[in-house]
Amino acid sequence: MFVLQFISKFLKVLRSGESPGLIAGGFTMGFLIGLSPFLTLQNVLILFIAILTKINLASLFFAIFIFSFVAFVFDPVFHNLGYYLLAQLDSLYPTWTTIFNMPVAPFTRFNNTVVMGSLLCGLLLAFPVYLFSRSGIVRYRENWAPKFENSKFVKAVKGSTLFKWYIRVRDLEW
Amino acid sequence: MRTKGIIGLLVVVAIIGAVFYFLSDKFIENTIEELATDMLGAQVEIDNLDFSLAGLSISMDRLQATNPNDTWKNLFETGRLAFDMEVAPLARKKINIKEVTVADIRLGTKRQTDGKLEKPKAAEEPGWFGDATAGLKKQVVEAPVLNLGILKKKVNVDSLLSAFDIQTLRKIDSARKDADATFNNWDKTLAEFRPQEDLAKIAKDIEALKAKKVSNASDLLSAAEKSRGIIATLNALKKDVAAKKKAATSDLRRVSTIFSEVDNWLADDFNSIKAKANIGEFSAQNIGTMLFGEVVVNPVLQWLGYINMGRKYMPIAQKFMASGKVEKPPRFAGQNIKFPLLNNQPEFLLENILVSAATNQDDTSHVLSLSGEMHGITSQPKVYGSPLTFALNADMPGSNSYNVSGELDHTGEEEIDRFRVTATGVRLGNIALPEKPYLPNRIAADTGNITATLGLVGDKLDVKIEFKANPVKFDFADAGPDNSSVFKMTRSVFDSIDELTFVAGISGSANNLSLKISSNIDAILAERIKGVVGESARLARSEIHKKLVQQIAPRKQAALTFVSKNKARITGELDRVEQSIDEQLQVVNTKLKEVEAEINNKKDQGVKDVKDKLKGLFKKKKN
Repeated sequence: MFVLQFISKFLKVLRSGESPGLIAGGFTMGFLIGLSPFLTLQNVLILFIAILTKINLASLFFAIFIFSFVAFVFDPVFHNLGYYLLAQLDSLYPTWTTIFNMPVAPFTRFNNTVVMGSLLCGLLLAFPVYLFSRSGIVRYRENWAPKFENSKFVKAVKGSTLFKWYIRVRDLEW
Repeated sequence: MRTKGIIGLLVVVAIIGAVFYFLSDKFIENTIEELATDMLGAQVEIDNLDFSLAGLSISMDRLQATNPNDTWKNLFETGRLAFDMEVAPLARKKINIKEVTVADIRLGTKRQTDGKLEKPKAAEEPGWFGDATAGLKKQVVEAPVLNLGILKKKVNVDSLLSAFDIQTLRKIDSARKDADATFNNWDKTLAEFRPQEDLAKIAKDIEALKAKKVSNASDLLSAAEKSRGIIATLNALKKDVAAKKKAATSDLRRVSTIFSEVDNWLADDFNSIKAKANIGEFSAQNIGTMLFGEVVVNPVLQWLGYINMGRKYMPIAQKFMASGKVEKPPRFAGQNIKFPLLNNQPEFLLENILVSAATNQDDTSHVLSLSGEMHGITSQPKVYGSPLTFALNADMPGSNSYNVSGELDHTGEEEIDRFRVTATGVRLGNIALPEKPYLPNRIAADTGNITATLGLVGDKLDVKIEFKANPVKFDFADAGPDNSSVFKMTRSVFDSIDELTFVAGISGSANNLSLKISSNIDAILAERIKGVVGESARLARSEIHKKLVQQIAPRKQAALTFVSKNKARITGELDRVEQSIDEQLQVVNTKLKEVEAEINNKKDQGVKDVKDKLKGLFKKKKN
């Protein structure tokens, strides 16, 4: 149910008149949060910024949900990359030592291999993800939305007992 | 800006803040109470703890720690306490408290409730403390009992010996069996070793060599070659015999050594019988341990318990740098890489505790002043870099004074812990002694002086306690097992003593501690005991020894004869073989020398012949 709600909301957002930039921004921020272990200072900051600004929150949470699974798959890659950066790249050792001695350092968990690996990957891919998602939203609205709405799959889903039951429960007056 | 978002965030922050505000005090109070209770092994309670987030300060109305040995009393109880925590270390989950001042501390106050733990503290893991406790308690328990009454009765030596399993006889039998097996083994080895056949063949070769006529150089060289071959064979044989002789000597020596222990076995049996009949020698050392063993060991174990707690919560080894890559950490867990902290601080640090208190402040002539300091209480001594030190003083003007100081140095590779206690003019009152026949069960003393030092380096313990009390009076529970002359004698000894002094020492590794206690009573009491019961005990001991020797001597003699006979036989056999080889070797060497001399003669004769022929040739040419 939770997953269906997510997908449904996200699709609604894609169809709505909201700016593609804000939706793509939310998606990118969600990508950054979802990729790394949640409880870090940088993730909390990103979330605060998203709440305080007009970034689309549905796309943010959708991206967190999706990229948490992606992160699970790529976890060993992040660990290896993080270990290389933190422990094997001697030239960065003084920098890490300086950061490690800063008062806020423990909250960022930058010295964790998975946090470091996923953060680096996230930062490197953030801009391409933003561009790709923004152009994807525009294209979806222009070309794919009507086709998708009329597709057999969507009709089958909408016609299913499960979906109808979900809609009934969702629209119940409490 | 999203107005709703800001409001939502503010609401969330406000709720978290409110929850923290209302629950933090109780949470911190419970956490500290649980931790301290676990450390002490009895209830530790805090009243009205207040945590202020603004200044990161903590205050409490009262802290009371139960005495684990008497749970209806407090070890200490404080008045209001307040201290501040350092802000920066908290970011790293480190608690750093600069100073706590305890201005109103009371010792041994009565509790409203029993401070006993509902769930008893889990048993300690086996380690040095367990070893030391078991070892010292065993020595106290095994201290001999002054059971002198038995000596009044005639000791029936025959029935005593018949009921006693004499170990020496068993050991002699076992040693004889072992010797028998060793001799059989050598008999078998010597039977399989047949150098006589080799020697006979060699003798034959030598005879042939002697008989052979040597007419030319070729014969000579052949004879020399043969001689050398015989010598090589003989040398190999000799080497083999020497090796066998060496092994035999070692085996036979072992057998002899076992039998040389017979007298020690007999002594052990004799001591066991004496202990069983309770007619052992009463040394001064025994008396000290009998009387004051428990009195000395119990406080020492209490101090060791504190050290054990210190070692548990202030461990020496700390590893900070990651030792290597963790290949497969759990998903999303990763591996934390540690970097050096430029201004590293321990996880928990209470730098200074200052204690000052005074009792009966209305009457300054009878005020007991208490003051003390404790520095460097930390969970990571190596990071902090300095040992925990403490010094506590309590004194009343013109009366008693106490001084306890020490240090727990866990900053190096090995723990070094030291305690020093000095108490002068201590009002002792009644000191309970363990219930033992013929001995007092209580000392009533006026005042006393105590000096004690305790050092524990790794698991090596060194304790020295000096005690002096004056005047003292010894109380006896009743008239003793009987109102005998022995009892009257021991009582008269204790009645004559007005001052008690003793020196106790405990030293050695935790698993092998030696407890020694000597007091001014020891020598007097030992002398008097010897005087009263010495003669009858001596006679009984002498008879036991005589009968024991009578039983053991024949079997010992038979075993020794058996060993000596077989030993001589095997050694003689090997000597004979060795001698025979030496003789043959001598003969061959002589023959070899003869052959070599012959070769040299022949060589000289040949050279002379050539010279003569050359001279003859020159003469013919001249003519």
